[in-house]
Amino acid sequence: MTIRLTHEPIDAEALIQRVTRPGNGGICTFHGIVRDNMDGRPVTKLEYEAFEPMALQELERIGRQAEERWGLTDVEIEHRIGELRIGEASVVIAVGAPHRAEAFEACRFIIDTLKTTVPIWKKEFYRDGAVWIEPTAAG
Amino acid sequence: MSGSPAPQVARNATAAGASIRVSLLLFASVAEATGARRREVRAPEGSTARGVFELLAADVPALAGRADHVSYARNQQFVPPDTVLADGDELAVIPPVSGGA
Repeated sequence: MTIRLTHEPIDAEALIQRVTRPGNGGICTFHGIVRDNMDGRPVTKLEYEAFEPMALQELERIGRQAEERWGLTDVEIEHRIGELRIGEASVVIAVGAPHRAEAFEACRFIIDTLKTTVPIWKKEFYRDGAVWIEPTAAG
Repeated sequence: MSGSPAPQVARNATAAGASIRVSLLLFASVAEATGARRREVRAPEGSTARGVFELLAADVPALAGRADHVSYARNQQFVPPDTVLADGDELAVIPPVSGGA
């Protein structure tokens, strides 16, 4: 299992390579991409900030949980921090399992859990301002 | 400065061991509102995580009413808001997270 926070563009190919092994009949990846709008409002760029030691700890906890629950062979999670342009990947997850069902479910679990528990924050920039996205506050 | 008693009661109390030092770590909207990522604060002994945030909020009007809408981590472990802190603790104030995509 590799867990990383990076200030550089994520090399998704490298993650996929690391989970590509003969015993893995199913490989599933999730790429979170910076979208050019928020509910129709044009977004110009994003910024991610993390409480890095805790974010790493929490990502590892989620990875281990997924490994155990779905019997995964490989888990790779990489999250980008800092300023991102439209179209760049903010997060890439790659999992490898003997069969596809486990790979699909585990990948979905990891991204869904990541979004609710890992201390990472997103700031959206618009043409006329910027705002920190805080899901529970927004209801 | 006149010779009148300082308003910082907590500072006098320190000598008697009745206060603790806490390093506050601030992030995202809370850091922005405060204008700092780190604050060293003195709080009365027995202060809770929430209580220490309230001390900060008393100084930073933009943080008013946010104590129930953030999470707290003491020395990098999530803790309930009513956790009593110890001298030298690091308290991270965690606004609602939005990592991922």
